[in-house]
Amino acid sequence: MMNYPEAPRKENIPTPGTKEQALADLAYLWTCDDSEWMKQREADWQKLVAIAFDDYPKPEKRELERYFKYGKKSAYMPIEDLFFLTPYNSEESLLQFFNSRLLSDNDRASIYGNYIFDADRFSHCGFYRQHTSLFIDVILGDTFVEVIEKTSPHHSKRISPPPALWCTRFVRFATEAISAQVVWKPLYQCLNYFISILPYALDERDRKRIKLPELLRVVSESLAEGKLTGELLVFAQALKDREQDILQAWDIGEQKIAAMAQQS
Amino acid sequence: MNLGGSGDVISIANDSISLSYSAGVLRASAQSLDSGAVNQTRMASVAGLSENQWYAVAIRVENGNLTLAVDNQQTTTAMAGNALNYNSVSGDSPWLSLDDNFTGKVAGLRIYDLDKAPLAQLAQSSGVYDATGRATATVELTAAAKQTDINLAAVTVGMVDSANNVLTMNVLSKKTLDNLALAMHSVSSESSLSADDVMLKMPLHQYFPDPKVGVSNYVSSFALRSHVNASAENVLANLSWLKLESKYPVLYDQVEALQNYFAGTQHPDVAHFGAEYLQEATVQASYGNNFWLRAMATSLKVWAEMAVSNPSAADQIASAIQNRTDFWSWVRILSIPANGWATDTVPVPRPDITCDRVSPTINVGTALAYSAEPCRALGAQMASLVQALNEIDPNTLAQPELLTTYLMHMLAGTQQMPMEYKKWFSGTDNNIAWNINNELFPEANAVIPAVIGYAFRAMAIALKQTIRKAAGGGPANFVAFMQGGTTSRLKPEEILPAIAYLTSRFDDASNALCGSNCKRLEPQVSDTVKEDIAAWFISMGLARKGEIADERQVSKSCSIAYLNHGKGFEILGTAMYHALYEFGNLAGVSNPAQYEILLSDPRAGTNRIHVGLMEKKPGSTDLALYNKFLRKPDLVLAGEGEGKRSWIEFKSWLYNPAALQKATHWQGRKSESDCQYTNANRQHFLDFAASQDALLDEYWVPAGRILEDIKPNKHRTWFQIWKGGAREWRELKKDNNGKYYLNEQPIIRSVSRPWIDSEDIVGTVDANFQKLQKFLAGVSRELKGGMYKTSIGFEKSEHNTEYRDKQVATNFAQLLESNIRPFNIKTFLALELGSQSDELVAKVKAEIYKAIGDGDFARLQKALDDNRLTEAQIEQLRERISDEINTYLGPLQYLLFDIPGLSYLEDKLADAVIGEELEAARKKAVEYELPEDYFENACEDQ
Repeated sequence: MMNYPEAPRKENIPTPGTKEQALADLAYLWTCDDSEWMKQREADWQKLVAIAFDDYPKPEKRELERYFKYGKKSAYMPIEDLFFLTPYNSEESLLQFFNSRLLSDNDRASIYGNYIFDADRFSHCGFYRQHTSLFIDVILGDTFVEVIEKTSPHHSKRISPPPALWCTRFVRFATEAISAQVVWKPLYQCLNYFISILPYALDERDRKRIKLPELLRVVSESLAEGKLTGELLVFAQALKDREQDILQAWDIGEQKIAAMAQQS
Repeated sequence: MNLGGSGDVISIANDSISLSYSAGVLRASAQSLDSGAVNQTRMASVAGLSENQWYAVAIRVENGNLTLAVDNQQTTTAMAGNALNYNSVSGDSPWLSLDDNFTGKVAGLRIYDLDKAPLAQLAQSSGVYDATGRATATVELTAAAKQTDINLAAVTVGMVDSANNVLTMNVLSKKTLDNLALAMHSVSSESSLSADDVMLKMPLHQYFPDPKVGVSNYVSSFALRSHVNASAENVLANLSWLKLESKYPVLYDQVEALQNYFAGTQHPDVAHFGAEYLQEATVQASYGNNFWLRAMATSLKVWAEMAVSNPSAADQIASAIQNRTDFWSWVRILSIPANGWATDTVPVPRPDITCDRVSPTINVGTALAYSAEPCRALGAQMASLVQALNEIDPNTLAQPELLTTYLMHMLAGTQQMPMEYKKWFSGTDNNIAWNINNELFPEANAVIPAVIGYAFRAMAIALKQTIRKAAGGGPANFVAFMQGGTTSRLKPEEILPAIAYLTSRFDDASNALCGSNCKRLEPQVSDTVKEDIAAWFISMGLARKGEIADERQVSKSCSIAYLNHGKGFEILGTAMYHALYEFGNLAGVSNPAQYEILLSDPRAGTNRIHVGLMEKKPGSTDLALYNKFLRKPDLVLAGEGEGKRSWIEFKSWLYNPAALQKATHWQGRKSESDCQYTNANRQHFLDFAASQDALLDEYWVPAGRILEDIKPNKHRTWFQIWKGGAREWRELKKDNNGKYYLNEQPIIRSVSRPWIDSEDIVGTVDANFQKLQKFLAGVSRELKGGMYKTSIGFEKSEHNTEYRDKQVATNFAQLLESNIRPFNIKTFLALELGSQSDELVAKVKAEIYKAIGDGDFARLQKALDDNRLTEAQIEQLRERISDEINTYLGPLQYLLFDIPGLSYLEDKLADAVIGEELEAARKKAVEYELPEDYFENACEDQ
């Protein structure tokens, strides 16, 4: 394995403190005394509750609404919900929220791996694009980096996505989006990230599920049909343009697996 | 000193004084010069001693005598001369040395020089009779005493007249007189007081030389006056006396702090409530019974220290005293010893001995250098206890009387409590709580706490919950539970540490409990565990006379009483898995991260897990959803990562072969019989299906939504086993005066019959448990074959050979391969570690216990595991503790009461309780069916 460099690595350092303090420190994001802001929040909530949270029990809906509108939180809520309902609006506020005690290390890992895919269920919401784009720019980044967090002086936990699993999802959802001609999805901004993480997608079970040929076929066919437009067209074209890069990244994975097999 | 093997022990100045031990005999020797200036060595010995046992040893050389004292044995030998003859000591040699070959232990060493100058003396030209036969005597501190800053409150002076008559006179220091005047002044309306006024009100001469006689006279004078008018003055006068009494000089500096409580306007009734106790205590003392007085002096000392170090906690106590009985209760509470809870007697602490140091003034002039009695809590320790209770139940801040209630319950509970739970105090540093009694019980020198004792926290939570959540019956059942009684399938030493451990790991636990290095539970897990703990306590409180309902014994399956066994087991199992995650690496567990609990009983929002089963519709190759079923595994562990989680299910079931015989398998439909066996079979099949990869892309990664992060590739169902047999406990009864007491006649009940009756690692699986495994892993004939194949990945006809039969185990090795496993702590650890090694299991247990109990629980547990403590020893210990605390506590009058209406459920219970007898209320509560959203996981089969 000496010929294959390890993924770049960085340590994420969460902010110490209590949840209450974290919530108080983030309170400025809820500009409740701004009537326009509140009006928009109310309108957004109506959409959210009708679609994304339709099947939630009433007490949970009430708790989510309180958080969404006023930033008040007294009970547990699933992390993906919490993340989307937080009105971060800048690099600073997103980092402040992401590293706050409102999230555990597992929450950050879950958000890293799932958020851009799972947030689809909020796609009807007005701030969906701004919210997820900011996440990609600030947290996920343009290039794969293995992110770890120290859980104790001698132990660390990886919070960046498991490469093979993330690639499985990217390829699957990209294929579906192109086939269904979805105008925009967060993953359209993640092509570079995909190519940079692919060489590290070594988990055997998940790697089998990365249907790369199918994605490339759908891309070629869709482009040939000429029906794609706008950002979808840009994304599909970029995939086509970088087909060799993708295949090369895949091959690096193949070579690593072969080398590992030989070593063992 | 703890005696080891034979040999020299200690030498001073090259054996000028020495101590040696051989065959049960300690020998002290000392050198002196005889009249011919020849060096002579004399010896004093004490025999009949045992090795590996702690003794207080003192060597004393005074007035030409050599004394060796060992505990209460003492031998004196005349020396050849009056003075010690010291050998010369060369420059590099130590003046004092412990022999290199000494194999015993020395806990501490003090040296006193009895040749030093006296502390007090008559002033020069003082004490001489004049021509009229009068003498003025002035007693003053010697220069040496002044240099060492010694302060004497009073001395007794002996005077001899010309006819050789001896007269004694008691002399107070000016400072003492001033303090008395201050004490009086604080309650007197006079603008000034003369010394004569003071002496008139407080005729202290009565108290010398025997204070006992004087005290009763003195206190009697207050007894004749109404409390309303005299209580404050009464208490203050008593305090003033106390600080002068030679046994209680430690109160000296703190009397003023206490006076604020007894004479201040903020707590006008405290003196009133306290007067009765003080009178009783001092009158008792006059009859030679110092117990009450000593307990009071100790409690006042602790309280006074709190007033200085933690005034808000001390103030809370003053507010908590709302009647006379409360004052008595707080005397008991505040005089709880900081150690000694695992010793063989109930310790009665002394006010002048704290645990951080043994005062050098103690017992000077006697052979023993320190008191053999246990030390008291420090004010800071007691404050931390109060603060811990505030943390556990913040209502104690607004309602300080709750403090009295909780602590009296705990004190009462200690009567029958396993000794490992008697650790109440947190220390402020490692020097505190030096257990001078560990000679009595070396394994239990448990009282060197660095953090809040896990046992105290467990007890506090237990009591808070039973009292506040479970109406009137909780405390009585809890007392029974602590006796090892009730029909609970868990023992207190299993569930209480588990509760204490988990609460210290809650997501929102304070940093004092869970610092930066400890591993907290995920928020969702914390929430579920909190509900489970509450449910356990409620069901414990609603048990009928300690008898906890088995499943389906009450008509409504979702009643609260039904939850106890299942919830208790889930709590214990959760604690075990979290402990493996947290401490597994210390014990050599490979990949402890796999045990991290991500979800517990997931049921909210996106955390709800639905397991989909799929099929192919006729004429189509596409997979279609057959149906999806809500699944709430008790735990979702991190496992090998996303898509490779582990699902864990805990079941606590009564052994019931007849029910098993009749049970039917789940047929794959949404609405089916609510038979617990059928439900369990459904759960197991869904866990099995979810663990397969046949539907990985089709179901677990559907368009638009990621379900895969909680998909398992491994699942386990643990069945609790427990030791069968009878449980015995003493019931709490009410006498004709409405007071509660423990009935002499014990109650005996059998616990439910277990599937496997063992407390060791299960090496051979009982045939009935195998039948259970076979049933649970089986599949109904009615289950659709097409759906099965699509969802599982092979033909249904292959189910028995491919899956079911592999789950039926006859021995440990096969249990390792089975997903249906018997649970007790040892078996759980052995199976998770993949080894039947007792040693490995013990190692992990030790690490867990160490983390839970700061090492103390581990030591005690190890002693029990190694059979170093016999059953008889333990029982004897408990009996003695029980008897003596019983005497100490008096009637258990606080054990039953109600605090109605704290929540929806409690409101309902309160409706039933108010105006009715407890039994009727309990009956109603037992059958009360929970609203579905109260405990969302309550109605699932346990």
